[in-house]
This record gives sequence, C-alpha cells and structure tokens, in this order.
Amino acid sequence: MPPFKLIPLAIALSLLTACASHKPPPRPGSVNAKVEQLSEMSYLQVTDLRAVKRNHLLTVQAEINNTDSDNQQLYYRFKWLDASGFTVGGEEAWKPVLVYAYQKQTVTAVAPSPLVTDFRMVVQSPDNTGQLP
Amino acid sequence: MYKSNNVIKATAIALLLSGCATQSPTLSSGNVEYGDSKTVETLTNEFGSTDLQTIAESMASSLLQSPALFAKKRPLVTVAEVKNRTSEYIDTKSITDSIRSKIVKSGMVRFAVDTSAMQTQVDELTRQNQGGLYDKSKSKKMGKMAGADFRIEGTITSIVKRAGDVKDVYYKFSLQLVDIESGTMEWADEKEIRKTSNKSMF
Repeated sequence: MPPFKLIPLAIALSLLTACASHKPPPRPGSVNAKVEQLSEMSYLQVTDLRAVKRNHLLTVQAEINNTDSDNQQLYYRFKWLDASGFTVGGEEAWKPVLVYAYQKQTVTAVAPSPLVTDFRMVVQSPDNTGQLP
Repeated sequence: MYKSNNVIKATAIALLLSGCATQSPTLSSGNVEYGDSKTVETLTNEFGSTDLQTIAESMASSLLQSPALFAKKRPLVTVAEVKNRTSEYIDTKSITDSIRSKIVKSGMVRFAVDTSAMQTQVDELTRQNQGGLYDKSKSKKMGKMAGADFRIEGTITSIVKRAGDVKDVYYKFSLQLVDIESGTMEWADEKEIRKTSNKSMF
C-alpha cells in the first residue's frame, strides 16, 4: 500500500482518539487541584501555591518554575469562589507574565471580596503539548 | 477505482469533522464575531484594554489591603482626578471607574459623589426640595450629604523610546489615598507596564 494512502487513515484515527486520553483527577489539597491548565504546559510548572486570609480577603501566592533555557510566556487569571462554589466578582482579565529561563517567578493575587473562600488559578502557555494536563 | 476510494475517505473525514456540529443561534454576514473582552490584546503597543484591566485589578486589590481603609468600618471615599502625563490620549476616568467598581463590589468601602457627578446630585436635590412637586415628608433633605473620609488621586506617565524598528513603551500608573481631614497620604501604589514592538520582518 502506498504510504500516501495511509495519511487519511491516520488523520481519522487521530480524530477518533483525540478525546480518549483521560487522566485520574488530582488529589484534593494538591497544587494541581487548584490549577487549571488550558493544555499541558511544556516548560512551565506551578510548583507552589499558598493562600491566607489577610484583612478578610483571601490572598494567593503562586510560584511558576521555568524549566527551559529560553524565556517563556505565561498567561494566567484567577477564578474566585464562595463557600457554595459560585464564582465571585466576575471574570478576571488574562494577565501576561514573562518567565525568564530557569526562573522561579512569583505571582500574587487578592480576592475581590470577603465572601471568597476558594480559588482556581487558570494558566496557559503558548508553548504547550496540546494534551490534557 | 483509486479516485472513488479517495472520495469515500474524504467524505468520512468530513463527516467526522462535522458530525457534532449544530446550528448556532446567530445571524451573521461572516465578517463580525464576538471575542473575549478579557483577552490579552497586543495589536499595537499603545495603551489598550489589557493595560486598563490589569491596572484596575492591581490597584483595587492593593487598595483593599490598605490598613487605613481596613481601620475604619466601610469608610467613605471619593475619586479625584488621575492626570494623564503620557504622550497619548488615555481616558483616565475609565480607569478610575473600573477601580471604583471593583472596590465597591467588595462591600468594604463606600464612595461619595465625586466632582464630575456633583452637578447632577445638586440638581436632583434641588428638584426634590423646590418647585412643590414632591411630598415634603418623602423628599430627600438638603444639607445631609456625607463628606468623604479619603480621596483617591493619581497620575499616569509614559516613557517612549525608539531604536530602529524597535519601539519600547513604559507606562507607570501611580495612585494614592489621602486622608481628607488631616491631609496625610495613607496609601500609595504603582503599576508598571512595558510593551515592546518590532516592525522588522526578520
């Protein structure tokens, strides 16, 4: 069979299997449980997340580690949730951050209201694997 | 034979791609579409929506952590002018409006009528108290307006540099909170933004 005839078959197979990769959900309390990656980032990792209430407002600090020898761009925003799991304060703007080669960049955010009790950090890097994290 | 096989494969792929598509509730010429208002906009390196949004978010969250605001229960704040000292037109009122909205939503601060809305406030009070149209017992009284505890004011500046095809723009947005009675500055913060563009094709 000529190799070019296999191309449509390969495309069809990849389309059928594209949504089939499922990973187990992250453990509650782990960093991954609070981080939503829009596709797995190739070189950036959220290595540390800590949250504390200051002046009635939840304050979050995240550490992003660049494991690559090139600078990497990160886009992120936070989702703030109340005790019932409803979002508070509407959607945040996406924020760009440049992370230098092998740098550990810290980003901080403050909840918009004292009602906030939980959060999710949504991250996206243009350099990603295209796979589910 | 080969041709009919290819047609079947192409049809199969097209069916796979369009199999889950449903009709969207839209009426469009095809040239206009809605986008994400929160997206990172880098069309040019002039002041843009992402700059406005990040400045507002950064300043609002910093201000809400100010010990001066936290010390009083729901203090009354007014917004003064933010001076535009950049080389381009920037609607600074739009920035302060966004900051104010975010702070008000926290429920920790109240805002007094600022100078730009004062005429409307006076007109409304005058309408209710003069002319005999309103029931005196139900109209809002003159002389009951509350004075603000704090004033917010600031500046936005920029430094623009060009070197060949490269243009670098640096913005600095500074905001401060002043205690109106004592005249002391109780909080100040800055947000810096750097944007660089390159016209070169290589």
